[in-house]
Amino acid sequence: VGAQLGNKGMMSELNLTPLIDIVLVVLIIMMVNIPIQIERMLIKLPSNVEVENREEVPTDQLVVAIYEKQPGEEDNVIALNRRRMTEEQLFFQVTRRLRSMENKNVFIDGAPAVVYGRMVDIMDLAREAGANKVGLARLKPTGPLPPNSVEPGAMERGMLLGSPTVVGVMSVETADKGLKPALGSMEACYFKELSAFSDLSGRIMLRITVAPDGSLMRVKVASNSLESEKAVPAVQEGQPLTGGPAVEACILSKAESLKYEPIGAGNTAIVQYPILFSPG
Amino acid sequence: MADINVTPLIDVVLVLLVVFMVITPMLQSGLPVDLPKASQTTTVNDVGQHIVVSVSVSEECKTFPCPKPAQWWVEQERVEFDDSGKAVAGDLLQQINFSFRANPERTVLIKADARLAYHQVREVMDVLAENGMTSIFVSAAKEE
Repeated sequence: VGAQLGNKGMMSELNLTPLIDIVLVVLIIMMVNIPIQIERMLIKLPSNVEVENREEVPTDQLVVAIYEKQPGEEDNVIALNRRRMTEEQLFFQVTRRLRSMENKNVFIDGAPAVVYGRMVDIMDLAREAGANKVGLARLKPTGPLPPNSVEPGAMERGMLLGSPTVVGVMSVETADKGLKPALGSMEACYFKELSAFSDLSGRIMLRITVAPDGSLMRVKVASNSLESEKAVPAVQEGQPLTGGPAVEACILSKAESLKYEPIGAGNTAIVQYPILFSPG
Repeated sequence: MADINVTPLIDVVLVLLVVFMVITPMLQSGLPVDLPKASQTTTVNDVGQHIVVSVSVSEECKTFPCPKPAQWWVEQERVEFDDSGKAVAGDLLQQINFSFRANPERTVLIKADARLAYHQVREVMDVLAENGMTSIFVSAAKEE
């Protein structure tokens, strides 16, 4: 009734002071609590005890060498166990060989003059390929031993699944088992596009979030590096996809029908699969 | 009708905002350096669990990798250097030991500038490794 008495000053004013007090206190609490986050990567350094100087790398070890950039070169030369290869081939080889290894260790041997950012790139690549431990080899003033072969590492024709990385409650075996039913049809996705783009190669990172009952919460392609020398037409609305994007879409559709073993109430897991494609 | 006077409120909030913006970059551990990019990193909340060793490039450098000796820092303290500007390994150790004594649970995190040469960063790592710190973390910026 009071509010209807008219505009002659009887309107009661809202007291804002307590509200402002609370808002300011909340603001200060939030300021104190801002989580400062750090991105970090664990690396292993050689200790004093083990002094090794070998000409040949044991076959069960992976040593990635990065050589100093020579004038006129576009990028540093890299080699795996003294075999020279491109970064894409390196990823393929490391992924393939780590899969069958029990201790997934990769050693990185850099020349002293390599730019540090490039070193971290390769450490990152090794982790992406599934390495559990990344170690740095002892620094030699002359750099790593030169590559003893210039032929690039051979790749087989077809699709290759690397070691999955799991965040959350799930074993790598379960993660592998979960994807298995779809592997055949995923490879078919690739072969279909390979008939049109005969040199289509690269890798797809498939990221799957698994719900407690083993069903899929989210299926996503985190990265797709499939490329062909033959120009892949740009994606157009209404037109069917071709090349890399087509493989990606096809793989996503195949992944959607997957079912994992239940991982227990309240748990979720994110699994990332590196999947490599090579025309051989 | 009496309006609420919001001017003081806005004043206070804006001042807080400015203070906040100025302080936030200072809150990160170690020195702000141009970190290398990586995608396979783990994200952790920084609650002082690291002894942060920063390796930064000399300010005079315009081309990279820089021929000038790198500067070493433990937390916010610059490591002592000799006449040629080279950091003294003994002082680095002393400062790290000092940090360890305060909290033995801490691990070493290296924040090194992406533009340094590998041997400049490795020099720090070797001092650490020789003294038993063979598992360390390197810091990177998240690459999506």
